Amino acid sequence: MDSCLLCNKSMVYDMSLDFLLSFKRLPKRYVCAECMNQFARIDETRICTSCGRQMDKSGICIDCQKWHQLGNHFVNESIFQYNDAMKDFMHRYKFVGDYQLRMIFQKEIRKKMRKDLLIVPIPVSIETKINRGFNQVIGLLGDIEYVDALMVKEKRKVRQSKLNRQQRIHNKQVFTINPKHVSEIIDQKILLVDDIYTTGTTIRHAANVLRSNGAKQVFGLTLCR
Amino acid sequence: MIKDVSELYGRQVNATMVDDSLLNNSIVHKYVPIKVNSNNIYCKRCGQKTPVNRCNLPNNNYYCPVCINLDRVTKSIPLVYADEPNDFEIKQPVLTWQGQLTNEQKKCSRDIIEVFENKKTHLLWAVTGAGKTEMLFPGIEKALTEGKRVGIASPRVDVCVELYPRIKEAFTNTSMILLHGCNPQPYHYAQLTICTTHQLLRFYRAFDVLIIDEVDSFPFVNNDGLHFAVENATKQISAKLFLTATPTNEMTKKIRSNKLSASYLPIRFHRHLLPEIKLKYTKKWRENLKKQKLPRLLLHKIDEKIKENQRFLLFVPRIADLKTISDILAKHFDGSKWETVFSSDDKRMEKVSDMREQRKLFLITTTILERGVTFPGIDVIVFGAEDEVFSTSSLVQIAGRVGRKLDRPTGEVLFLAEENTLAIKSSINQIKYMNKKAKKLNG
Repeated sequence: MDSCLLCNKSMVYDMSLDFLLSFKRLPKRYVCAECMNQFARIDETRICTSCGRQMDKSGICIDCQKWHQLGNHFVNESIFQYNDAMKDFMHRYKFVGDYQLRMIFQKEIRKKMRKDLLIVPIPVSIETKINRGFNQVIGLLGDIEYVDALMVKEKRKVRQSKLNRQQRIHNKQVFTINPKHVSEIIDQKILLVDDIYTTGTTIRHAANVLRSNGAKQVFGLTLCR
Repeated sequence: MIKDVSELYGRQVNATMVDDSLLNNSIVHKYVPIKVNSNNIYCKRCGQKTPVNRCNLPNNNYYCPVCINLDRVTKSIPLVYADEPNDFEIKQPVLTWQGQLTNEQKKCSRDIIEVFENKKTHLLWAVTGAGKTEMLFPGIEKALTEGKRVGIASPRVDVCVELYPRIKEAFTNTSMILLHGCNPQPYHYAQLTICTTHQLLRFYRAFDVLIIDEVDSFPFVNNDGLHFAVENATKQISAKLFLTATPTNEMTKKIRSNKLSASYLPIRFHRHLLPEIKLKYTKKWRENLKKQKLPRLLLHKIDEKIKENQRFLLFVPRIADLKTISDILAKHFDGSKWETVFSSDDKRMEKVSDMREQRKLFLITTTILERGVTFPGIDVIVFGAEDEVFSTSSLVQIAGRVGRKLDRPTGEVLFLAEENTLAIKSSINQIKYMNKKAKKLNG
């Protein structure tokens, strides 16, 4: 029997006669129902239509209104709210480095894929790649095809998550185009994928690089917001 | 970043945590912690195997997900350690404890000295409230005096936290450290280590003497990784002493077949018998709970205890039951009398100390408070005692919370259950068995 990747308890499957006689394949699960319930899915009927965050009713959130004043009209979609369970998940997946946890949300990401969009993951710095051993976004993508069109430009001295909102918004451009793949993005509609949207600076920086290198349109998809 | 080599004595850490100057020192050994087999990997730190699809990283790298809570080990980063040199300064007097042992305690304590002396593996089976910790003192004293490195480990954080000040007071002149997952105190080399059994994974051939408390309890019991850790953390020739109030079947079998030597202490230090378990049935309580109803028997008991100002613990099977039951009780009684406690409760330590300092009359708790904690003069009620979370050892431990002090050596242990289970039966029998043995000692 499988055990839950998050709480380690063994998982009980629905083995009712009805299910057995339906001859359906046992759905592969990585997390038990109890743990899964801790995550809060974003209700798409009440979101900020710009950044995808959960709102009381649909509209443009205050943060996005500020972006719009700066002339930046980026559109992002997110699947989950960044609540305590997601915070804990991110900690274990990214910072502790439990790479197998990537499988938990691969299916959710896969559902959001569209044939007309070219997938570009947000890259991690070479340093992070060495320490962590993986790019967490590529992990979430599973076997979805993507183009590694971006690279982290300079050696950042402080981790992004250690900076406050103001510092992050005014952070200089951190990405650059990957010369190996620059031709593949020209005139393409691109879906930029990241694990988390916090202030929106990271994904906008990335989108700017893609656009200035010939991408036609760039949207965002993050696991959580 | 580790710069002082003493922090590597008998302790294995990722090479990335260690300063370059040390890495190039010949007394520091390195090894690759992950061995890759055809369809699984073997972690040399925790001794566990994982199928490759659960532990692969990009670029042909692998990590161990089993022991990841103690920093991740990967194939690409070596673990480093230095041999344990027993480099301790011994200040007299080693034992600063002034108390006296009873005759029965003395007998066990002589066994313990002999086990440490001859580097044996031994089990001490002593009832709850026997005064196990004190019995260890003469043995630990001798080991420390001889310059041995000593570790005391328990599967439970609460037990470690409660043990540390007592050991600290008994061995004031010895260097000592407390290690557990929630302790931010940085590591330093010490002759006496008190830690959770998980922390043992960080040690490598360090201890001459290792004492494991509460061997029957979660997560140590049935956890191969932690048993491996005990072997790995101790020197190749070393003494291992297991302590328990409720040995598992596996242990009793080993004792019977002479694979494990054992000492018994069936009587509490105050020479009173263990309070015996009363079992009452509460039919269909789970269904009734869904209708926001509690058995009259339980309400009546709680009412009685509130009126008598009798402090107690109310054990329930599941975390989810805590709030439900607490909410129902709040309709009947003054809600300021109690708190609810569970393992990952942020305010657990606070609530426990509220109970200890008598600001609360009772706690509604999961099995997390089944052992290691002493609240003087309490009673216990186990509601839903038939639930599978209550193993024999849990139930014996819970009963063992009662009557621990000389000024109130008795008290009530009440189990409310849907039905009688094997675990309930054998907990009742275990207590009766130990009491029978104790009566013989009392003559």
